Amino acid sequence: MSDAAKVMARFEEYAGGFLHPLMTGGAASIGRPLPPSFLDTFALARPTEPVADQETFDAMHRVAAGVAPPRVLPYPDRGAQALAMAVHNLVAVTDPKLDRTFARRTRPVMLAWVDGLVAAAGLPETRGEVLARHAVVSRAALLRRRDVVVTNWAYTYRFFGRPVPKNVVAMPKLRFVKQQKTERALLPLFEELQATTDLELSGRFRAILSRSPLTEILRLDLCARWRFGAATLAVVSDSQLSYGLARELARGGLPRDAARFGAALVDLADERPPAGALFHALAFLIDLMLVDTLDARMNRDEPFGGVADPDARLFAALLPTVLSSPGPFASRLVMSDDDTPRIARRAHRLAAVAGEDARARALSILKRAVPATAVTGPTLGEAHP
Amino acid sequence: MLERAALHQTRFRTPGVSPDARGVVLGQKGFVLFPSIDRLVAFLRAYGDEGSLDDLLPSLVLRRLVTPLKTREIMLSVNAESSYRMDRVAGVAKLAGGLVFTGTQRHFVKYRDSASPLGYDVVDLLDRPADVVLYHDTFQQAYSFDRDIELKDLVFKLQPFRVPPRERTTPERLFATAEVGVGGALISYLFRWQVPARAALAEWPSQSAFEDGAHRLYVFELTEVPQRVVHLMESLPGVHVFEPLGQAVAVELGYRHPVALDSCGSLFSDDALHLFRGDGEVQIVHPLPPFAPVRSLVRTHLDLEDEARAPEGGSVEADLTMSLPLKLAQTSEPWRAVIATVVPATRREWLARMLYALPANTLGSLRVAVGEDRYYLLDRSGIEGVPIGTFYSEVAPKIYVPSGLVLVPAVSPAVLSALVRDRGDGHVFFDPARPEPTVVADAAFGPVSRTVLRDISAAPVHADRPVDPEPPLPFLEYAESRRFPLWGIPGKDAPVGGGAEEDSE
Repeated sequence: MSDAAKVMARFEEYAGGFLHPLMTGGAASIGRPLPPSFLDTFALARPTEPVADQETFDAMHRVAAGVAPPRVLPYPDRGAQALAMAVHNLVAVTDPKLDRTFARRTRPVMLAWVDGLVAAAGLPETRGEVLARHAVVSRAALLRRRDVVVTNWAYTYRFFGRPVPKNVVAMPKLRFVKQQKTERALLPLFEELQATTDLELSGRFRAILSRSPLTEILRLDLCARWRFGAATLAVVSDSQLSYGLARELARGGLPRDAARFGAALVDLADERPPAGALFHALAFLIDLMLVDTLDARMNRDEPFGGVADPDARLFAALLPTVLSSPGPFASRLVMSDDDTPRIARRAHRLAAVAGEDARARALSILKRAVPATAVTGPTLGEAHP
Repeated sequence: MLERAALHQTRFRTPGVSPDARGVVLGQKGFVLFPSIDRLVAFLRAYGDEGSLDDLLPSLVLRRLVTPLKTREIMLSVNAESSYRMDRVAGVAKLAGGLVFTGTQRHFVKYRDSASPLGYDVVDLLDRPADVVLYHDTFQQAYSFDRDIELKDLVFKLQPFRVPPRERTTPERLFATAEVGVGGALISYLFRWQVPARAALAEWPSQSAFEDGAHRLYVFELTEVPQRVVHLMESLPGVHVFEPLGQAVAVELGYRHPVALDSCGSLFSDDALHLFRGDGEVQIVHPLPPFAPVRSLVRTHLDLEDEARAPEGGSVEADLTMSLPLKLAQTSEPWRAVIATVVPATRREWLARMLYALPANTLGSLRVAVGEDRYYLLDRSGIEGVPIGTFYSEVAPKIYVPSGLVLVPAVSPAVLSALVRDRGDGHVFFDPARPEPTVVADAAFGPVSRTVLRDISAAPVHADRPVDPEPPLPFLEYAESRRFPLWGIPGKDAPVGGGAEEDSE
């Protein structure tokens, strides 16, 4: 079998055994690691199983459409494929059976391949790429490992991420078979492996996340310190993606991430970024606050009561501050007569929570924002040029 | 008074006793003393239930004894034969409250018990004028014979007792007696219902001078009697039904004799019939009168004054064949097996409305055939659920007559089936308005749902399975592990963009 045939065979295994169940649910098979040299082939190949291929695309489209309506969803996308391969390799490192002679030394190689694939993914350039990467990486972030410990009257068997053979659980009453099943998310799995080895897994996973800005913002719980990077600013500068993001974040509960948003704003302001970048970041946060206020359901009217974190206070101070001095954000505050009183009431409560210092800090940042029309800023196109 | 017999002891003071093969002291007779007659009856009942009284009957002697103080007791004497037999007699006698002795002629010594497994011998013989002298370890007593008791008389004097209803069974063969007044009607009844029976007329001489004549009873011997007929006969005044116990004995149905009569059949002679009634009266039919089948005894109407219905035969060309058409006639009998109805076509709308109102189970069991001018409906579980049309009863397999009518002559179902020829597997309906019965083929009957209901033409619409809003979560599963995980992977050392072809294995 030639190398090209071997690569295609590996692609079939990867597309049918890993990518398809990753997107549609079920057992995603983690096979042999995928070197970065496979990326050129994987970015263009389509599996021979048309039904699975169509289902994979449908699932990606469904996840992407949950955030924003994708006019064109690139499939297969080189960046999304690279990130999926990186996830595959990163998860393969966690296989307990690699912790043995001859196999142990393959782990650094596999992690190097992860780095190579993340670097090859680069940053998204179009809205479709952003959504395609989000579809893959958001599903990858949901991966779980099922660990089963089977005990019978004499022995204990452990199956970590592997199916339990039928003969092990046969005749359960006669042999007093008991099964203890646990499901573990990826991040705790990585951190556990890091604690016993010198492998860096969590950081690489966050690097993968950083290549999918949409996922990064929506899964702030997976990021240790989230910042407005170039990719993120490109995403929030896109009106469709920005609105979709705001709606998704508001649906999940804004107070949970208030401190992270405040800290990211502080970081961005301290770095003296281009004025357009700061404008887009502030516009996104203000939009987020407005959507959260107007979409607030019953009994969710007081999200920031008793906030002690200064970053969260800064975030809470944005809305009352921009209402008192709209500046370049005045166009965003034009709304119907029914909504205006609700915004005002919310701003009044947030002002009380944020405090005077936070409002003054927010005002100083707001004054530095200049609309992107005046200054060139990061933007996303509809498709590749 | 008594001393225990020793093993290999050969000489005894008790006359007429000797050790048997097992060394047990045994005389020629066994002797059981009962304090009263009811204890004797209890012994006979227990022994008859447990074994067979016929074994004891040839040598059984029952007598009433009198002591010098005129106390009366009952004795039972049988041939001892062996210690095994005496052990059985002794076991039952002790249970019934009797004392067991053994001896040969006059002196009877206590039979063996657990205190002396080989029996006893007397120390001193009692020298008194007496018919029997009994030696017990607590007493010795001389008795005189008072009178003999016939076992047969004893059995006849015992009154049967009622059997609990749950233990009652109906045997295949029965005897019955009927007073002359109802006997004739009973013969007709049994003939009408085709009950295999034979009848005889028994006669007893009058017991009193005030009776006009001899007492007569019909005696029936019945086989395979339906339960309802038995119940009817039991409830008839003047009729007694008996359950046979052997060839010559029968006890009234629902009663049981205190003594197991089937275990003492030799008491009763075979040329007589002993009928034990529940009220204690015993009727002995002796000698047995001749029995005749009831079909021979059914009354026939014959008038000798009428002209001869069978004229003398003429020439050989005379036609002697006879053809009787079956006719429908009214009957007052209750309706039975009403499983069909015929609805005329004019009531089609009514039938349709009725079908809409029928429950699912009735509709499921209903079969319908559509004729030219009527609908034939069949329901094996009963057609009462469809109260429309003319109800038909099944008089023979797949032969129906309108309920309330019967076919005359009253031929049996088997004959009727044979008479209706060329019907195949069809259903035959006798209609009073038509001279010939109607045959509807069995294949014409079908479930209502397939026969009557219109076909439903469904309009196809395009529909897809709803898309799951949230696909299930993925979970990882490691593939089969390898000793060298990276071995054989093409292009593993090539950078991104470096072709796999550059690295060949």
